[in-house]
Formats: sequence, structure tokens, C-alpha cells
Amino acid sequence: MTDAQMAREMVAIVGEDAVLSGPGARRAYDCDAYTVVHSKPVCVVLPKSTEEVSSVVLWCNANDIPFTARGAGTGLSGGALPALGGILIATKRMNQILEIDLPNRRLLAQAGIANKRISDAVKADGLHFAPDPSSQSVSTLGGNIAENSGGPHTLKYGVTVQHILGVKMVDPTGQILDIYGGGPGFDFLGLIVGGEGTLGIVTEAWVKLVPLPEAVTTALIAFPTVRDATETVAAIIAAGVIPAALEFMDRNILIAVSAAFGIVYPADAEALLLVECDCAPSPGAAEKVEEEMAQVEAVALQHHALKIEVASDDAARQKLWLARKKAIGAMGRMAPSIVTHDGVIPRSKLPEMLEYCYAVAKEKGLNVANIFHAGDGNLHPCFYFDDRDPAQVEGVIEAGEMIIQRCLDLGGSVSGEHGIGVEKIDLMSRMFSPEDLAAQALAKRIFNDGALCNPCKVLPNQKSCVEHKMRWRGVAT
Amino acid sequence: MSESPTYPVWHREPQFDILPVINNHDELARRMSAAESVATLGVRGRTWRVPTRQLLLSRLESLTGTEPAYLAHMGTSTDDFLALIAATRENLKDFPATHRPFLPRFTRQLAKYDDLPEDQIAVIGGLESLSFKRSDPRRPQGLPFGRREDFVRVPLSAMWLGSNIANAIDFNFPHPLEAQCGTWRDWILGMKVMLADGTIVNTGSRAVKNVAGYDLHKLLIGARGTLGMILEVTIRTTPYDSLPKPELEFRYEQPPFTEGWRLRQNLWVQRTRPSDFTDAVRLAGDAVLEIDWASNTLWATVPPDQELARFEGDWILRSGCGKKNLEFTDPTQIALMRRAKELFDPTHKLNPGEMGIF
Repeated sequence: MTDAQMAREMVAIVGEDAVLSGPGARRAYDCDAYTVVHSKPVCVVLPKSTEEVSSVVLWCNANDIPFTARGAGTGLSGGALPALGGILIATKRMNQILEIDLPNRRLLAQAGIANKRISDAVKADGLHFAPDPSSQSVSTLGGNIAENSGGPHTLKYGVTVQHILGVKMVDPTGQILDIYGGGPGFDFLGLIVGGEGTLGIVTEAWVKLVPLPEAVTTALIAFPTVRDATETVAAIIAAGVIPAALEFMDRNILIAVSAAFGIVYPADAEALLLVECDCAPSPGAAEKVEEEMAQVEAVALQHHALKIEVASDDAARQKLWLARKKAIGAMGRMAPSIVTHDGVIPRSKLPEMLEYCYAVAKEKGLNVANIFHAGDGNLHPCFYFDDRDPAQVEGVIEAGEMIIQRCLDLGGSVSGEHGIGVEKIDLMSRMFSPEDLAAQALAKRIFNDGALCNPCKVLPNQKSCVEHKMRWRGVAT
Repeated sequence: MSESPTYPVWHREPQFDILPVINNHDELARRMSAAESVATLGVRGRTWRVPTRQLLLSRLESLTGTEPAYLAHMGTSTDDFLALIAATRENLKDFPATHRPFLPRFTRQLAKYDDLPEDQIAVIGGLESLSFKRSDPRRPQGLPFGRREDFVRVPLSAMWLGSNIANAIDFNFPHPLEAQCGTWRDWILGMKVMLADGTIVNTGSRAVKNVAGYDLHKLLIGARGTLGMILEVTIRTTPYDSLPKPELEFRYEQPPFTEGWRLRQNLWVQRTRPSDFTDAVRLAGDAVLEIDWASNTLWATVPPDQELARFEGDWILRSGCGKKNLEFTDPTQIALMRRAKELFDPTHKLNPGEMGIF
């Protein structure tokens, strides 16, 4: 079947205005935010309903055509890469809120809705959808479900899987399934959330709504050394305080933010911790938050804090959050290209891990800035470099592998929140034994026993995928 | 599912204070041959003790209607445990002709509790007791299922007493702080699991956040040992100081022991959506024993031939009514569960009959 024929078949299913084909469209959708690899779909379809998604998947099965779901394309591990071409099913037109059930604190929405729109819809009712990935203004509910997304506040509120009550999905054969969690029996919902779109395409989901906190206090704490800051992280938790957010930024981040926004930080600060304590509506909420923050401050002072700036009103808190929220954008001034790695470790290992990151960067002659979810032990070393220099590109790749290997050596994981996708598929064998991976493959087969639904993701050594890797990186002969 | 067993059955040793409450043993009892004699298991020149044999046997018999073929009591080391697994795997070849179930009793070798408060995790052996020493104020953190005083009453104590971590995870036990602190599905970061063919696999990691690969351990939580046997878990802990108070209401005087035993024989556990819960409590009337207003869960005593009002989207667990103890009605869920069972335990060695649908 020619590409043109395939596009015509899709038009017959979803309509002319819902099919994108041709060189421009194929180029626009050949990667997600993991821009190191590229693979063009034959065409892109933009269905508006679960039934249309099902029809497309049924057609793909009948014609042995691979298909891949995509939300906003903000994924950082290539999870939405159409690895073997085929049909890209973009959910951005499935963006409706279908039902708000306030008595039961839940909301039903289509998968293509942006994360933040959910919270905006119920803010007046004192509720919100807790997962808050940095991309929440654009990243979709379906994408968050696929990647089990986190965010700064997952330390206290959990990741996406803890906030999904049920899904409607199209399985890899095209059947429409309704799957709910919470009751007796096997927890299939827990498998689907974080399945990176390889177990089917989620088209709708019931999400849990939780009360907005009644009292919130935020502190920005400056430290003279990275070790002081990172040791404070574990000490806060060990002291019995679970902040809503506990974020780390190092000096290179502060330099970038200062250059971009003119914000002045203590001259002798090598690292900052952003700590937020909150409490749901309840008697004594404000006092409880105050008490928690006092404990945080005491721990910070024991670890040589240089300055502690506390904000309780919304405007002041937003100011303290500015560095954290704008940092990645500010990094754009530092170099032509940035690669943000994602690894996770037990948080008590943060001090030695950070020292290792800086040592690796020095060894490879690279610049690195660290900004990450310290409370979760979720590292995001940002290497900024000139991607026109092959030696620097090679160095960044090697540095990333060294850092991830050290995460594993310290009892952590190859990914804290970006997922495996195609980026880390080869690292899975470092984290898991062949027996572990075989068991995971069994779990995948419950839903996906074929090779058409989002192929070449998560599990290594999939049929037909190895020979395509060079093509994705643009180095195939 | 085949009508007659052609393979040996592996069944994790029942926890006697729990299985009568919410297990369905009809199928297991049907499969077990009658009146097998008990033997001490010898493995590679070693002999495994069988302490409190008569007590265990009488309880097992009361549960299953028969005696197990073998009852092995392990020593204290991981080596012992691995030796038994290896021997069991070898013996599998010999067992089919006998159709006898094999009930390994793994005890202390899987009981350990490594507390790592800085990392907010604990690494716990599968058979570590759920005893309330976890609430020891000298420990800064622990499992967030409430304080000792929340468990001293029937029916919660009936469900938890004498159980271990693996039991609680197998059953995804309800607890008094579920609405406030989450369920086992929210806390477990990783597992060491023995699959039906004896393979030991690891899932997850020791980090509190991890999205690498498929969350196999999620599938094991609440699976009642039908997909694998939980050997060790890594759990996210919670500071005791930050534990909220439960919202429990008791609707009965603490009964004497015998009355408590009777109540738990006919236990009805029901969770509804918040909008239906007041009606559920009202309609249950005098049957209600205990209410968790935060998680919309009620515990009641309901004779086997009766039912309380049901609501859309609710679920129940029952005791004392055979196959009605656990019923699945959603065809999608049933089909997927059968599919999972065929993949993970194609010869139905693990906890046969437990779910009532395979």
C-alpha cells in the first residue's frame, strides 16, 4: 500500500480535516521533545472520539500497519516516536471535559485535554488535579497517564497513577475497554498508567480531584555548598516532615536565571532549596504548616544555611518559584543545546551523586547545571553544549550513561519521570535481569501480544526494532 | 480451567486469622486429596522441622477440609529458602502423578525489616509480621495504616491479626487511613517475587519514584498469590508525626472473643462512592459494625443468605459464604484476569480457586 493510499484510507475513517500527510506534516510529527531521534509517520490522524480511535486501530490491525499515540509531544524519552512509521494517532482534538462529579470528587475528560485545564475547571470549587508536570499547560492527560507523570508536588501528592480512577481505552486489537481501579482483583489500571502507550490508547479517564491546600508556605534557602543543601534534603524527611515540594537548584542554574530575569541571589550561595509546606482544609491548618516550616528551617540552619526567605502570600510565593519554573528556559541563553537527563536515587545518596555529576562533567569537558526534584531523589542534570561539535555530543551521551549507571549502582532507577521510550531502552538490561524483563514482557502480553501498538518502546530487543535504531538517529547508511 | 488437577499445587501457607474471613477455599478443598499424611520435608540431606504441627494441621483442615501433603517449616537463612525452592522445582517433575498439593511454610527467613528513614523506605521480608511494633515511637517512620488503638477492635483486628506483609499485599487490605495515606498500591516501590515456575524476579527499585518498565508489582498487589509469591517488598514509609487521625465510627460494644469470632465469620466489607455512602450505612442498619467515613467503607455482619444494598461502582468482600466471598461481574475484568493467569501461571499451580474465575 502506498503512502497516499494509506492517507486516503484514514480520510475515509476520520474525515479529511482530521488527516495530516505530506512532507511538512510528517516532518512536524517525527519526534517528541526527545529530539535526538526522528522517525516519520506515514500520516497523522486527529480523531475526536474513542470510536474513531478504535476504527483506526482496527484498520491498522487488518493491514498490519504500526500505530503510535501522541498527546502534546512533550515527552522526553521518545515515547511518542512513530518508531516503525505507520499511523500516528494524535489526541489533541479529544480535549473535552465530559463530566464533573463534585460530590464524588472526580472528573471525566478526554485524553487530549491539557493537564492544567482540568485543575482550572474545578479551581472555583476548591479542588485540583494534583499531578503537575512542568509541561502541565500543554501536556495532555493521556500523555501524563502513559508516562505516569510527576512534577514538583509529587513528593507529597504522588504521581499520576495515584490520581486516576478509571480509563476508557482502545486496546492494541481495536477493542474498547473500560478499566477501573481500587476494587478486588488484579490492578490492571496500575499497569496501564505508565505503560507508555504500549498497552493500548487511553481515550478517556476519570481523574481524582483533591482539595486545594488551605495553608501554604514556601521557603527559598541558600546554602554555601551543594553538599550542605543535599544533606538537608534527607535530614528534612528523616525529621518527619514531608513537604509538598522540595526542589534543588545549583549555582549554574542561578547564573542562568539571574542573567535572564535579573534576580539576585546571595553571592556566596552554591545551591538553593525551594521548600513548600501545605495543608488541606482542616482545623489548625495554618498552625500545622507553620510548625512544619519551622522544623525545615531548623534543619536547614543545622546544615549551614546562609539565608532563608519565607513567603506565605501567593504573590511572594510565586516570586520564590520563579527560578524553578523559568530555569530551563533561562538555560537557553547558556548554549545552543541542552540535554536534560533523568535518573533517580535514594535521596540519602544525593550528596555523593551530585559530586559525581560534577566530576563527570569535568572529565568530559562539559558544562552541567542541576535542577531537580530533590525530595524524590529525582535528578535532572542539564548538560548545555554546542551540538554542532560532534565531540561534545559524544561527551554528553557518555556522561549521561555514566550518571545513569551510578544511579543504578546506588539502588535507584534509570528513570524517575521521563520514561523509557526509545531513549533508555538499552539501559533496561542494566537495571533488570533477563528474568525480570521476561516477567515484564508477560505483563505487556496481557494487553499487547503483537508488534503494532507503539513498537520498539520500553522493553529491549523487540523484533524489527534493532535495525531501525540507526535510522532514528540519522546515521543509517 | 481443567476439572482435575494434573499438576502439583503451590499454595502459600494460609494465615489462619485472615483466610476464613475473605477467602474462597471451595476450589482448593475440592482439588486436595483427602487425608494425606503429613511428612517432614527432607531437602539435600537436611530435615525441616514441623513445629506446632497439630495446631497447624487442625487449622488447615478446618479451612480446606483436608490435610496437606507436605508441611515444611524453614530455618532462618535465605540459603535454606533457596534450597527449598530448588528442591521444589526439581520435585515438580515427580509430583504430577500424586496430585498432591505442596504447602511450603516459609517463616522467619523471610521476616526482616530494614528501616531507612532518610530514604523514606523500608525493605521488608514477605513474612514479616504486621505486628504493631511498627508504631514504636522510637521509629520515626513506618507503614501508614494507623495506630495500635485503631486495630484493637473486631473486625479490623480480625482481618489483620496474625497476618504478615505478604498477606496484606495479597489482599490489598483495607485499613483505617486509606483515604488519607493511600493503599498498598500507593506505597510499594518494588518487590522480589517467586513466579509459578520458581523463577525469582525483582520489580521496581529502592527509589521513591520510578517509571522504568512495567509496574509488575502493581499486578501482584491484590492478586491473592495467584500470580506469584511475594518474598520481599520495598515500601515507602511515612513519618509517624505526620499521620492523620482516622475517621472511624464503631457501632457496637467490643464483643467477647467468641462473639468476635462469630462476627468475622459473616463479615461484609463494602466501599461505595462518597455520594452513596450515607445511604449504604443507613440501609445496612443494625448490621453495621464499623464505619470509615473517610474512605466510604463499612464493615457489617451479614449472614450468607442475605445481602446489603448495592450501589453502582461499589465493591464488597465477604466471608462465610463460599464462592460469594469474592465475585467478579465485569466481563472485561474477568477476561483480563484469565488472560493474566494463563500467562503467569498456565498450569494453575498458585492458589487455585482463590479468585473463583480460574
